[in-house]
Amino acid sequence: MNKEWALTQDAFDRLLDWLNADRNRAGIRYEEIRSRLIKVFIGRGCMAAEDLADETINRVAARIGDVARDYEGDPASYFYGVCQNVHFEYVRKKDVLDTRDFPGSNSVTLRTNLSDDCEPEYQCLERCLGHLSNKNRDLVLRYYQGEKQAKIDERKLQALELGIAVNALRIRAYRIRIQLERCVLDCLKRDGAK
Amino acid sequence: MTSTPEIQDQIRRYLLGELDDGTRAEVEKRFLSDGEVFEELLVAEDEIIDDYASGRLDPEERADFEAHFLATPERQQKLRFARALHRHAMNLANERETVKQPVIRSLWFGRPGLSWAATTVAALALIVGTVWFLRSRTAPPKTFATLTLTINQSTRAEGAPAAMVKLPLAADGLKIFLRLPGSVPPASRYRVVLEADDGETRPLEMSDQDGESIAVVIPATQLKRGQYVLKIFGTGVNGVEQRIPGNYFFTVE
Repeated sequence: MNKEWALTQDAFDRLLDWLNADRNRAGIRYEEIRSRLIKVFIGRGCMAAEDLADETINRVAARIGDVARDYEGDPASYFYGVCQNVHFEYVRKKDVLDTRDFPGSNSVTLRTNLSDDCEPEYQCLERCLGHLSNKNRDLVLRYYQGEKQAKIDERKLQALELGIAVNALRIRAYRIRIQLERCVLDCLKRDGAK
Repeated sequence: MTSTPEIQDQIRRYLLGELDDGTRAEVEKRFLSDGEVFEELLVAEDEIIDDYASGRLDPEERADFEAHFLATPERQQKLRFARALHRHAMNLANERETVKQPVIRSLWFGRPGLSWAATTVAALALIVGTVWFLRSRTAPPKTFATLTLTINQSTRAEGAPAAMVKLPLAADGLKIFLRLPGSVPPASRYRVVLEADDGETRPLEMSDQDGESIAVVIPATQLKRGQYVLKIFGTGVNGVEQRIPGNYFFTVE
């Protein structure tokens, strides 16, 4: 790929057309693929996961004319193939940098962060819980209470009371937790900016 | 959701970096094409963080988690969030326990002609309160920061590396997993002794044990800054106790 290539509006529009003829759905699909690519890169321990996901998308967009014409199947699979190449190049570059300049730097960073206090997160969490509805707040706090078998039993009871399966409760608790997590991140950014 | 125990297990192994390249690629492809499998990944990610934060991963998983899963700042941030959430849930559970007692007392005092009962209840409350206070001071930790140590044959003076623990701990206790050396035959019973740099020693209670490691817990309130060494003694089938050669070092800062 030409590394000087930049995503143009025309290429981006054609990429969306390829994802779905309906522009709204195409936008949703684009966001889905981007967030999943980010997770894949994070799962592979990449520090610049968002940049790598964007690089993957740019590469697909750069050859969107050929791809839209010749490729058959789920576009996500095509993105995945390109993501593999981007990752391969990233690892190769990173290896060179690590051995030249930063031996062992990751392990030092990790140890520092592992021992970090969660007090700022805790303060923000208390505020963010206040933004949830009573129902959601009760659900998520109850879901995360208890230890070991007591927790498992409590969750079964909670699911029974709500009239849903335990797995459905699991997903429901996760979705509320994500809202909380985003709120806490925003709160930390605001506090950090003060 | 189409999640099955098999998918959940595979995703868990993916997150811990335990899959071979081919299987990992298959799993990642599914993340991209199947929204439900992707959501399962997100849920499993939080669950594995919760397991780590509360010391529920076995030693091998914990090592994988620290080496593989926590490699990115995003996930380290998620871990801090998980610790905060658990701390909040724990505090809430404790508060609920403590509000029960005043309600019961008000029922007693509200009845005229039962002053003798009130006196008795007051005395009982005092006893219960004292017991509760004493027990709460020694209540076992519920949330843990974890540390995995391997045995070292050299001494601190010879430059043996020591793991670092930073105060404050953000958990009720420090759970330390001590990997047993493979060269030593398994004992039927173990005893662990903590030695501080001022020479003070005390026994530690074991919380978990399997063939490869044993775990001990130090309540956060008892952790002071300093250098520590842990020593293990094992009792063989013949009933004879012997020290396992070597030390486990850590430093609290």
